[in-house]
Amino acid sequence: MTTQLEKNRRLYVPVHSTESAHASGLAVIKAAVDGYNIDVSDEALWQASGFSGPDLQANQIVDTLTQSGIPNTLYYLPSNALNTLNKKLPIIVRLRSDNMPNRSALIWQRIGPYWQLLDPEQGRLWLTTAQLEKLLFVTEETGDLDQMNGRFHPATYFSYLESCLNTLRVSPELIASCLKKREDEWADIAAVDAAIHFVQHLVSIEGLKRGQAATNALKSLLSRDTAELETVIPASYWTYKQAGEHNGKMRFRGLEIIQLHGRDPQAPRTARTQQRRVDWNNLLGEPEQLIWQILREDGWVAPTAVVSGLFIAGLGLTFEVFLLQGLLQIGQQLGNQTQRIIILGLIFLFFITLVCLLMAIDSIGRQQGRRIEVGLRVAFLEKIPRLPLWFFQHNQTSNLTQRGYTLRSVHSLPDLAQKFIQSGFQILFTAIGLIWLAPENSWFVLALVAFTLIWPYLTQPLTAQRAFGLAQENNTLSQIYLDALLGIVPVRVHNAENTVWRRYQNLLVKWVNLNLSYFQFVTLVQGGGILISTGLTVGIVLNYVFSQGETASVLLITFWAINIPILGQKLIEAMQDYLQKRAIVQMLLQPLSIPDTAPLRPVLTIDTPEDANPDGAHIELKNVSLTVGDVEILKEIDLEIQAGEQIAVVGPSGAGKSTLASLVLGWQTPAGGTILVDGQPLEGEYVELLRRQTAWVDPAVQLWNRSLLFNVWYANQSDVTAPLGDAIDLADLFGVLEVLPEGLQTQLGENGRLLSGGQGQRVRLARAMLQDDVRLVVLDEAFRGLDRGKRRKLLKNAREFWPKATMICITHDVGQTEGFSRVLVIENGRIAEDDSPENLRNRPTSRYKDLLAAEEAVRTTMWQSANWKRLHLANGNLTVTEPGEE
Amino acid sequence: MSTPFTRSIRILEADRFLPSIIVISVAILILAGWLAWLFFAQITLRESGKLITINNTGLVTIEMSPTAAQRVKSGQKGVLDLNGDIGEDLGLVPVIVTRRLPSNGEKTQIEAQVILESFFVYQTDETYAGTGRIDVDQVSPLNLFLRSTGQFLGAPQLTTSSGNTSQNR
Repeated sequence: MTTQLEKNRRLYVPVHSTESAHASGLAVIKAAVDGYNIDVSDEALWQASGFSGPDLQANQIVDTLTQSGIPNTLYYLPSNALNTLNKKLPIIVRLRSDNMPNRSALIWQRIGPYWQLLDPEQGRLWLTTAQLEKLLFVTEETGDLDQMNGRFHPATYFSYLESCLNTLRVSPELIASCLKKREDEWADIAAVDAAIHFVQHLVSIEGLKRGQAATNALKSLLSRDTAELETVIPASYWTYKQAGEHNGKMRFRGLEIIQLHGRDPQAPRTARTQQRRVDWNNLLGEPEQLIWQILREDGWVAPTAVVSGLFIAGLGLTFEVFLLQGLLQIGQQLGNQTQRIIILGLIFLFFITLVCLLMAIDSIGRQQGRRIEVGLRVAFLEKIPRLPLWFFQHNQTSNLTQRGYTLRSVHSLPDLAQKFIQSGFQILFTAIGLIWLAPENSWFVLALVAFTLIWPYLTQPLTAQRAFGLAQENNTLSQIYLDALLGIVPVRVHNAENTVWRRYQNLLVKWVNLNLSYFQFVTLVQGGGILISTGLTVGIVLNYVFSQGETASVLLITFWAINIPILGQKLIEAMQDYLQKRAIVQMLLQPLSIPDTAPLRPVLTIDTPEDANPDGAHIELKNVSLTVGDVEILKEIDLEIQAGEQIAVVGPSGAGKSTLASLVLGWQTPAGGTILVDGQPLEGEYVELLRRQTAWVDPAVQLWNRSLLFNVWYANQSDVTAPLGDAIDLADLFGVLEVLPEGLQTQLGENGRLLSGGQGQRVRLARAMLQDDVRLVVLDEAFRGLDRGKRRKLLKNAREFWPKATMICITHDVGQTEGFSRVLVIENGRIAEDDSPENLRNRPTSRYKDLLAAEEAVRTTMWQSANWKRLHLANGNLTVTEPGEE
Repeated sequence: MSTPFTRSIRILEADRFLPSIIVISVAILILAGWLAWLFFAQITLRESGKLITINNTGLVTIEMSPTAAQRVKSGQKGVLDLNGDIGEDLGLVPVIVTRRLPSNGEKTQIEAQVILESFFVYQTDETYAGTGRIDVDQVSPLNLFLRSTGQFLGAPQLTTSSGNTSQNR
C-alpha cells in the first residue's frame, strides 16, 4: 500500500549553518526536517547519520532522511539540467567552494526567477539560475552499470532531454527517435546526450541556428558510432562515458541530486516541550527558545511586570504629547492659581513616574541580558572539554575565540525585545488615538499600521540572510588575524608577508563587499519603507484637512501620523539589531547542541578493581584499529602491557605512535577491537578513572599564561603537601628558576613564551610529577628540545620517580630506548616489532636495528663531518670548536 | 579551596529583579491613581468678568465677553473679588447668577445677587471696582485636556477653498 505523502512545507527554508564544510550534510538534513515540521532531535539526527567528522556522503544523507520520515530519491542528471528540476523541489545538491571541500545545499523553492536555497556556509540565499549554475558542483563518478542504473531516473532524465530538444527546435521525428527509451543501453544514451550538449553549445555561441540546421547537425552526429563520436565531441560534453578499456564501467559527470518527496505522515510532528529550568548544557533549537526559557525560569512576576510596564509606558508615551498640548492651553480654562499649580504638579508627577517606570523596565532587561550572557559564557566554557575531537579538527580556534568574544553583545537581546514590544504598543495606541480623533481616516491609519508591521516581516528573512553571511565572514576574517599573530615570526623569517597580505586582501574585499551589500540592502529596505509610510502619513493629514476636522487637532494628528513611521522604523531597527544578535546566539548554540563525549567533572562511582595492581595499570589492546575520515591510522593492534611494565615506542613520523597513546588515554575511540585496562573495557567512567591516574607529558600540554608555580601545581591544588622541591629538582628546573626574574612567581607568557622549548618540557614533567596516585605514565616526545645528555638524565629521573607505574615512552631518540626492557616499533599503523632492545638488535634484520643504525650514522658520520663549522653556545657565550673537541 | 560566594557564579544566580519589580509596581500604582484622577476628579471651571455696578440690595452687574457669557446660566454660583478695603475686609463675596442681560455685540452683562449677610452693612453707593468669577462647569481633568486640544469645545471650523464647512463635534 502506498502512503500518501504530505507535501506541505515551510515557505522559507530553515537556516542551519556550519562554519565547517564537513558538517554541511547534517545541516541540510536538519533544515529539511525542520522545513517539513518533523520532530526529530538533533541528537537523534547525529546518531542516525553516523556523523563522526567527515561530511556525510550522499547515501548517508539518503538514509538519514528516510529514517527521519522524508522519503527521497538519489539520482544523477547532466550538469545543465537545473531548469528541469523546477518541479522536483526540494532537492539536495552539492555546491563547490574555491578553497574548501564541496558542500551540500538544500534548494527549497523557486519563486519567480529566484531559487531559494540553504547554503550551510552562507545561510539562506536567493539566487538566479545563472548564479546557482555557477555554484553547482559537478560530480565525477565511475561505477559499474548496476550503479549507473540505480542512479538513473528515466522520467526526469528524458523530460530534461525533451526540453533540450524542444529548445533546439529539432524535427518531431528526431525528438521521438532521441527519446526512445534506451534503458540499459548506456552507449546509446551517452551518445545522444553528448550530441545534444554539443549542438546546444554550438547554438549558444551562434555557430549553428535552431531548427533545421540543428536537426541536420544532430542527425549527422547520431549517424556515427560511439567510438567515432568520441573523437568528434570533446570529453566535457559527455555526461556518461565508457570508463577506460573496461566495458563494464561508466564514468558519470554531472549533478548528484537527492529529491525529497514529502513528509511521511507517520513521522512525528514538531511539538516542542518546554523545560521548567534552563538547562544551559542542553540548549537545542532557536535563540527565542533560550529567551523564553530564561523568562520562565524567573517565574511570571518579572515578565508580567515588564509587559504591564511596557503597556503603560506605551500608553503614557503616546498620550504625553496630548498632555503637553493641553498644558499650553489649560491655563485659560482654569481661573484659579491653585488649580493651575495642582494640575502642573500632577502632570509633572506623571512624567517623573513614567521615567521611573522606563528605568526599572530597562534595569530588568539589563539583568536578564546579563543572565543570558553569563549563562552562555559558563555553558560555552563547560562545553569545550566535552566536545568531540573532530569538532576542533573542523572548527578553527579563531572561530571559537570569536564566538567567545562576541558573547558580550548578547546581553542586549532582552533590551531589544523590550524596544520591540514598547514600539508595538506605541504604534497600537497611536493608531487608536488617530482613529478616535478622525474616524474618517480609519482606512489610512490601518493601512499605515499594517504596512509598518508587515514590511519588516516581509523583508526580515532577506535581511537575516545577509546578516548571517556577514557574521560568518567576520569569523573568517578574525581567523586570519589569529593565524597571522601566531605565525608572525615564521611569516617574517620566510618573508611571507605578501602571501598573508594577499589572503587578507581577498578576505577583506569579500567582507567589505558583503558589508556593502548588507547596508545597501538595509538602506533599500528602510528607504522603501519610509517612502511608502510618508505617503500614507501625508494622506492621513490631507484627508483630515479636507474633511474639515478641528483646527486644534491638526497638530496632534500630524504629530501622531508622523510618529507611526518613526515608531515603525524603531521596530525595524530593533528587529535588524535583534537578527544580528540572534545570528551570534545561533552560532553559540551550535556547539552547545553537540552531544557530549564525556560528562563535566564527573563524580566517579567506580574505583580501581580490587584485583588490579595498585601501582600500575594493566593495558590490553585486542585487534584494535582506528580510522580517521577514510584513513586507517592504526590496524589490527594486539598489545598487552603488564602492570608496572615500562615500554618504549619508536617508529617513523606519522606511523601512529601518538595515536596509540591517544587511544589509551581515551581521546579516540577505536573503530574496531577492544581496549581493556585492568580487565575492564576502556569506556565510560573507566576512561575518566584512568585519566585521573595518568601522568601525561607531551609538548601539546598547554602552558598557561600564569606563574610557574601555577603551571606546575594547577592539576594538584588540593594537595599542599606535594613535594614541590623534589619535582623541581627531578625535572631539572632549578636552573630555569635562577634565570626567571621572579622565580616561581614569574608569569610564563602566552603558551609559556618566556621559556624555551626544552624548559617548557621540564615544566610539563614537573607538573606530571606532582600528580597523585599515578598508575600510568605517558611520555610522548617528553624531552623534545633538550640535548642528548639532558634527555637521558630526565628519562632516568622519570623512570626512577615512577618505578612501579606502567610507562609508555614514545620517542624519536632510538638510542634512549636501549635502557627499556621492551620496545615496540610501529610502522604504517601496525606493530612491526615488539621485543627487548637486545633481541631486536641481535636479529639479522630488524627495523629497530635499522633505526638505531640510521641514528648512529647521522650522529657519527654526518655530524662528525669536517664540513660543519661548530659553534658552541653556553651561558650566553659563543665559542667555535673543532670536531672531536665537544 | 572553595571560591568565596561573592566571587562565585552563585552570586549572579542570586541576582533577582525584586527592586525593579517594586519600582514598576509602585509606578504602575501611581499611574493607575493618576488615570483615576484624570477620569474621575472634578475641576471647577470659571468665567470671569469686570464688575460694573453693585447696589445696596446686593445686585451686581458683571461684564464678560459674549463667548464666556454664553456658558453662564441662571442659578450658577460665583464669587466677587472686590478691590480696596472692602475687598480686604470681606474677602471673596459669594454671588448667584440671576440672569444674563442682552448683549450689545461686543460685551454681555451678567446680573448676579450677593448672598453674604455681612455685605449689607457697607455703603454700596460708592463705586467699587473688582472682578466677578462664575462657576460655569465641573469637569474631569480628561475633559479639560480634551477641550484644550479642541475636542468638545466650540472651536472654529476648518474651511477649505470651496468654502464648505462641517459641523463641530
